[in-house]
Amino acid sequence: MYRAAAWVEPQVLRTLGGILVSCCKRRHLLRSAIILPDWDGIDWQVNVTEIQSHKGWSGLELAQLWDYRELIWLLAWRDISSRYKQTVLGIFWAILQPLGSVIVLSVVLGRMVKVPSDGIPYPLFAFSAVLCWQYVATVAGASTATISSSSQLITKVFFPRLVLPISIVIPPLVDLGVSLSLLLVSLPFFHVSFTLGTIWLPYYIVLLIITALSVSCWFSGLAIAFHDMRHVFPLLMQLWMFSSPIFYPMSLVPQEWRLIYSLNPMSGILEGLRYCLLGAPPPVFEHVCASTVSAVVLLITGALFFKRLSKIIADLI
Amino acid sequence: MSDFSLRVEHLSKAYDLKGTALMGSLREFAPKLLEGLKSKQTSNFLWALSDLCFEVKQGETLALIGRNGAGKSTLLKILSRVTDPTSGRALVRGKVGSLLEVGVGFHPELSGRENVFLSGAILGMKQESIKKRFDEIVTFAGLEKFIDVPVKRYSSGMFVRLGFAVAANLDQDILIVDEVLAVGDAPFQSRCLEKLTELRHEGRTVLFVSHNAGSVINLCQTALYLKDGQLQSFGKTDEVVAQYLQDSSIQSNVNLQRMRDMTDRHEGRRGSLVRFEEVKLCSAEGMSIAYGDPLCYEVEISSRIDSEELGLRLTFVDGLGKVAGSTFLKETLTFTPGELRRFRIVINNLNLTVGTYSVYFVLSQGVGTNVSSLSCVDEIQFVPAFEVVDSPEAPRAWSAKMGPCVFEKTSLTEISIMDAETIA
Repeated sequence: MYRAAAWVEPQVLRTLGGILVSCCKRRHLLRSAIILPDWDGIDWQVNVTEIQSHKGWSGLELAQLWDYRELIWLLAWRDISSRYKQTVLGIFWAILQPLGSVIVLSVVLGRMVKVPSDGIPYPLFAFSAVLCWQYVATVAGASTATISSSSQLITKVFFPRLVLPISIVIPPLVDLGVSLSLLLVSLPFFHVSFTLGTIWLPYYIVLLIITALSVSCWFSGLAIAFHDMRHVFPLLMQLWMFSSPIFYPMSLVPQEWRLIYSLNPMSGILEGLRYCLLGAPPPVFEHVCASTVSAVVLLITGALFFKRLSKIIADLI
Repeated sequence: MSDFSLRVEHLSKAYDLKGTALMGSLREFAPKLLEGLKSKQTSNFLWALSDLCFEVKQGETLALIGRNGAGKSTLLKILSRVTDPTSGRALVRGKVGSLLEVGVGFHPELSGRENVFLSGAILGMKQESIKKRFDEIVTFAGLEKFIDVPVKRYSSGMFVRLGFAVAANLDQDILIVDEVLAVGDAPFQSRCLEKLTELRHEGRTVLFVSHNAGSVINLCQTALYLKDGQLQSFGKTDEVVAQYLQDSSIQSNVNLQRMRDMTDRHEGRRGSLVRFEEVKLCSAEGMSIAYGDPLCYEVEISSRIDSEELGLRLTFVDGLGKVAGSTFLKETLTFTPGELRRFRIVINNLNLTVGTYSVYFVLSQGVGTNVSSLSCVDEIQFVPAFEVVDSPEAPRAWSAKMGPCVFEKTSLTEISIMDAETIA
């Protein structure tokens, strides 16, 4: 117990210190006071970096990440602009895929199997979920490839490795935005009007991004650890997809299982989004809390896991 | 308070050749997990660097030399924080800009302008400071006309120029450069060297890896010679480079056969048909020759074909890789197929100053002083690089900058061949 506390404490201090440092104007003075101890009589105040072995787990070094925030944007922007430069129809492809699956789902599940949809028109019910799922799936796909596609960067330049999984999350946001606005535009055709619940929309979008970030960290970390992981990812994603209320409403899940079911962040997000936009019944407070907590926990553990593995990737690839 | 820019203390780096338990594939990992990870594999470590200690002052330019696999790149990777050391530590003052490879992070679809910003951000620079330096970068690369063209349409030279321009023009306190000068044309190379000199005068510290001994000597005051991950020598550039060249030439002669295999691959050389079989220095005192003493070599040459008009040439190269002198034999050699002959070569007026030398033995078709008319048949870089040792007659106060060779007589070609026995 004592050892655990001794481990946690410096991490917490370091992270807090990092946040403080980045907020402070006289950064280098504070940095030397908080992060680097004064020892060996070396004048630490003049920007001395120590390079040494870092074994095992370590803090997230958020201050350093903050210093590199521009790189995150630039990497994301590089992917976005190169993608849309290549094809004039870029935006069109972004819509086509979710739209196609919504049509198939509406015909097969909505019309033929007659899956209940909490009184929401099935195409809208499916579309609201598919666009979120599409986002997470795109991030997951990109995160398994990111280590190999940026191997040149990793072996030749230093930067906080967390920049990579974070920058992955941003480009698919463009597609998400396009799909989301398409959904909003199509609402009047289905005679669905906005309610007061719509103000919660940003909350669920943020939760969705947190979920995508945790997926990105976990998957790229696992892809470093095991190079045959890419055979497992599609299976994992499929399992996750069917355990999320994408094709069916949460009301089909037995009452006593719903809280556990809500530990899947996607369930809280999708239920919440349908409440915000489509006028579905409001989600249960405990369920939203469960989803939020599990998303945040997944993010923190994923980031720590990635951080730990990223120290050795330069030697591996 | 010390004014170091870079201090390395007992730095070591090991690579686990078998890989740790965690790494590898899931398929291999799952059974291990079942065994409880108890049986730890005996790891096979490769020490890429071991116990390195040195210090570089601010504004110094340090050359890193060593053979392939000596650990140069590993050291640069550790210093640019791409990889962690296994033990020991390094202290770095200020921002480090590393140029381990030119054009890292360039995206082919983006324009040169966009790539400058991207590449700058990857090297850890703020967008504002890149904006300030932007014109300077573009001018240095000489790409004013093409800056808005996607990089994929650039020639490889333009690509490299832009990449180097970005890294060299950013405000870093320490610049790490790895063999980038090997690419790019001659004017650009000289501009790069100029830029590095300029950085040095601005008080920046430069770490520089190169195989080109000449550029190392001109650019750097201090050099560090790495051998098998260990610090072999560290100090003034010309001394360290001399030791490196001597070492590497001795090593390259250890296996005469391998040397010859390499010459065989050269097109147009008939090294496999007519070649040196053995070259031996005849000296009573190992590699040492007193100043003014004659130099004697025994050479064995074999031929599988009819060969006429073969010429033999010796070129002397000093410890810094500069040619000190050459000599031609007046005699021509004639061989019948399957013949193996042994010769003794004596150079009577070897007026080389004190120092270590290596010798190139060149067997060529045709004789004369017009080198272009000669075709090289076989060539070996040969050492025991003899060492001219001090003696009372040796010139005093001779500096290496004045040229390594003293030509007291104008000709260096008093060579006598004593045709030894003919072994059929």
